[in-house]
Amino acid sequence: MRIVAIAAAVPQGRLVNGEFGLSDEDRRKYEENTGILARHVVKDAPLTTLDLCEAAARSALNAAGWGAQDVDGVILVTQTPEYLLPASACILQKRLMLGKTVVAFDVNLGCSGYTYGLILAQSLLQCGVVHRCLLAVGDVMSRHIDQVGDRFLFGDAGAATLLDNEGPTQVRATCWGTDGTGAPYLIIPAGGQRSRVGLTCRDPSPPPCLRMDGAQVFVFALQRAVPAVKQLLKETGWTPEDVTAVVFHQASRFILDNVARRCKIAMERVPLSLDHFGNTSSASIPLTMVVRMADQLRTSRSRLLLVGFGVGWSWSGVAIETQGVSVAPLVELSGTPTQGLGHG
Amino acid sequence: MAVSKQEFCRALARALNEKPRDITEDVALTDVTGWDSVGQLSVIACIDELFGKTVNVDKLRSCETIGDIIALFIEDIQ
Repeated sequence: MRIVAIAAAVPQGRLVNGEFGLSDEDRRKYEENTGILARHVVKDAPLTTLDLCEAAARSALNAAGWGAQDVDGVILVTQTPEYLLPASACILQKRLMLGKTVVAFDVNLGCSGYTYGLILAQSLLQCGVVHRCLLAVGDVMSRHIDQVGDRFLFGDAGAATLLDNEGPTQVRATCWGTDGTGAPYLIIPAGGQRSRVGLTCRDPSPPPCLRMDGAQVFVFALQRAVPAVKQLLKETGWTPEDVTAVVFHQASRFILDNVARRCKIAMERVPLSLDHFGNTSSASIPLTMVVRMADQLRTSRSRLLLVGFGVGWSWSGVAIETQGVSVAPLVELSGTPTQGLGHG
Repeated sequence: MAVSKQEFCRALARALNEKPRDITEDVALTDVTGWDSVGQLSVIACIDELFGKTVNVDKLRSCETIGDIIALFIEDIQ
C-alpha cells in the first residue's frame, strides 16, 4: 500500500479560549494542560462530518490527479455520521459521483480510526478487492459537548487519504487492540438502541452529549499507546532517532508529553496540531500531517509512526515509509457544499 | 527505584502545585487546592514517572488524605 495524497478540511468558524467565560487563572491552567489555544468548530453553520470529508476528498483527488472513476473503495470512519442509516460512505459515493461498483462502508471508531482505516485499506488492497482506495475520516464533536472542560478539547475536522497498491508496500508494521472495559469512560450514552434519547420521532431532547473521564483516558493512553509505539519500533527495527515523526492522535498536550516521555521519543519528533485545532478525533493524525508536515511529506522519504488511541477503548498503529505524497492545502469550509442527501 | 516517603511527598507537592510543607501524610485532600481534575492527572503522571506504575484511578479517587495515596504505593517507598 502507498499513500498517494492527503487532504484535510475544517469549518471556517473558530473558537478561542477567551470565549468560554473562565477566569484567567483557570484558562491558563487548561491551556497549559491541554496545549489547546483555539479550535475550528461548525458553530451554527449547517456543516456535517460528511461535508468536511467530501471537501477533503475532492481536494485529495485534485492533488493526486485522480478522477472519480479511479476510486473503487471508500472507507469512511466516523462516530458522527450523516444519519443513523444509510451509511455515510454510500452518500459520499453519490456526492463524489464515484463508480457504482465501488466498495463503500462506514466504520464506527474515533481516535483510533485513522490508523484502523489504514490497516483496513491495506487489507482490501492486498487481497485485490480494491485497487484505489479513499479513506475518509472525521467527526463533528462540537455538537455533542456540553461541559466547559470538554469544550476546550474538541475541534471539528474531516480528512481524506488516497491509497493504492503501486510499487512495493510502504507499510512496515501494524498493531491494534481493543478493550471494551473502557466504554463507560468516553461515551455518548444515548442516541442508540440502549438509551433512545433523541432517537424517537417526538423526542424534543437536544443531541446527546459526550461524557469523558480524563484520568481514565490518561491511564489508558499510558497503558496502550506506549506499548503500541514500542511494538512498532521493535517490528521495524527502527530506533526513535530513525523515525522522522511519531504522529499521535492529538488527545491533549499533557497526554502526548507523557506518552512520548515513556517511549523515549523527543517531542521534536512529535508534530502537534492541537494548539490551533484541538482534539479532532479520527481526523487528528491526517490533519496534523497536512498542517505540520506538508513539505516533509511532499519532498522527502519519511519514516512515520502513526498511533491512534481512545474511545472504545481502541488503539492501533502503523509504521509507514512514505515518499512524494501529494499534500493538499488545508480547506476551510464556510457553508455546506451539498446539503442532506445531495439531490440534484 | 525506591524513593523515601519525604521524596514522594515532595513529588506530590510539585504535581499538585503546592508548597512541600503543605503536603504531609495527615493532610486531607479536600484541603488541597490543587487536588482537582488537572491535579489528579499530574499525580498519575508523577507516580508513573517515579515508580513506572500506572495508577488505578478508582483507588486514587477513593483516597481521603495524602497518607492514603502513600499507602497505595507503600511497597515502592523506602
